[in-house]
Amino acid sequence: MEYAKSLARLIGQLERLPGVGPKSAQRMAFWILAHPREDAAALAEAILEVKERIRLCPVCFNFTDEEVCAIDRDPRRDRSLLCVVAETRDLAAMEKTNEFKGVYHVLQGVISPMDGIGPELLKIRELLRRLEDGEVKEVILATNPTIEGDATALYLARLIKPLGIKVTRIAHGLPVGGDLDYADQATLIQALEWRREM
Amino acid sequence: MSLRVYTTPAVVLHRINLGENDKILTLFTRERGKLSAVAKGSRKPISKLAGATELFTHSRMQLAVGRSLDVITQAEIAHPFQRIRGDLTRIAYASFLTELVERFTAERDPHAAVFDLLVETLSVLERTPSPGLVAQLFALRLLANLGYRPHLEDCVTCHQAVDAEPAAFSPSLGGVLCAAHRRRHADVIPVRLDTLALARMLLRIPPTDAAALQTLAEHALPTVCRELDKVLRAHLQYRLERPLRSLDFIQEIQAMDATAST
Ligand SMILES: [Zn+2]
Ligand SMILES: [Zn+2]
Repeated sequence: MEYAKSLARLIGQLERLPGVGPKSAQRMAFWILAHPREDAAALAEAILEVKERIRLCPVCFNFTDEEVCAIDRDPRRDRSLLCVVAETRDLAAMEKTNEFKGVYHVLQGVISPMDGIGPELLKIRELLRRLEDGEVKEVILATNPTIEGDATALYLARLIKPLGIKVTRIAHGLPVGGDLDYADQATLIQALEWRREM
Repeated sequence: MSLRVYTTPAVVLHRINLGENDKILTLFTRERGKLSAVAKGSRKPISKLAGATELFTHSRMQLAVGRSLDVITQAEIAHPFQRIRGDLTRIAYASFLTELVERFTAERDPHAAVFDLLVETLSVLERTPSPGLVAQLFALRLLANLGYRPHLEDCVTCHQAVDAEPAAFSPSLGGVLCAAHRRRHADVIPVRLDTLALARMLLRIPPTDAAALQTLAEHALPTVCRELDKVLRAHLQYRLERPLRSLDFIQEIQAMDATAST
């Protein structure tokens, strides 16, 4: 059966969202259809508002709907400690720990030689500019333990170390609650390499 | 049912995320050539597949034939090439190797010799003091294996000896030209006889011959190596529709090394 034109259009739009297949798109479309007009309007408005109001913080390149993001406005944050992440969602994950009291820099991607994503496409020049005034004493590289995450961290370390700023990388190895005998070779090698004295 | 499951050695050439938890991998398998496969749940850190789905990793994989894409059911890492990922230059050259394989092979067209060459070269790349030379060797041998070997012995058109300095290489013809033939081709690159000799030498030694590579590295002049880079690049590029992406990154790293050493 073919759907009415406007319904097919909505399903088509929903299908373009990441992680949404044809089946889920249909379910969402029918949900919207079955609910009051106000619900649909709220959804549509939320989508448009995000597009209109959200922009990149000019300091850390996190998403914000203010002039400068809430973290960079907060006087209690330690500005000598700068954590570099690839994406905004990594920043959100770090914030959830409630442990990190420094500030962030979001690269908006990772170096990926195979995909033609070079350093010039990331917010690296902006990062170096932030380090110029000497306030930052340590840069923590919190990229994923993937080849792209490693390449990005290695590249940044090469740029930042000559400036005389301490550069660290978050540890990788076994996941908390994981089983040693389930871990693969690559993970165990990493865990050994990143071991520390007790 | 057993027909629908197969086991093969495989190297991860490329990968993209799929949804929340999955990845689609481009694998180069020894038995079935290049193919795409889904690794379900492999983005979760507790996944047993996570390590094996990392770029460059050589694993023994079990796959189930799927409707559109095959699905990885088990993987045992044979070699994670850990030392590559600890070094920016080695990552750049390993990306070049895997990009070449991805671009020069067709889907489901097996090349066991190329597979073995890739695994051997990745392994050499972990420790070699001359990763650039190893990458050149790989590129030349890959081309030879797939029928794109550049013609470096005599004139590609008339087989006259090429002995005047500098010689001329034509990317479109894929070889060197004699004095008479070079005048008829506009796309020629000047190339020293030493550069041609280095290329011919690299075609003769296996990547695992560390002693021979060491000797070559000690004797090859930097200008000769750079010129071979240029000739190889032109030859590769002419045979591909789109530019090789990893080359930009290699150039960037080389520029970084150059400024660091001055
Ligand atoms: Zn900010
Ligand atoms: Zn000729």
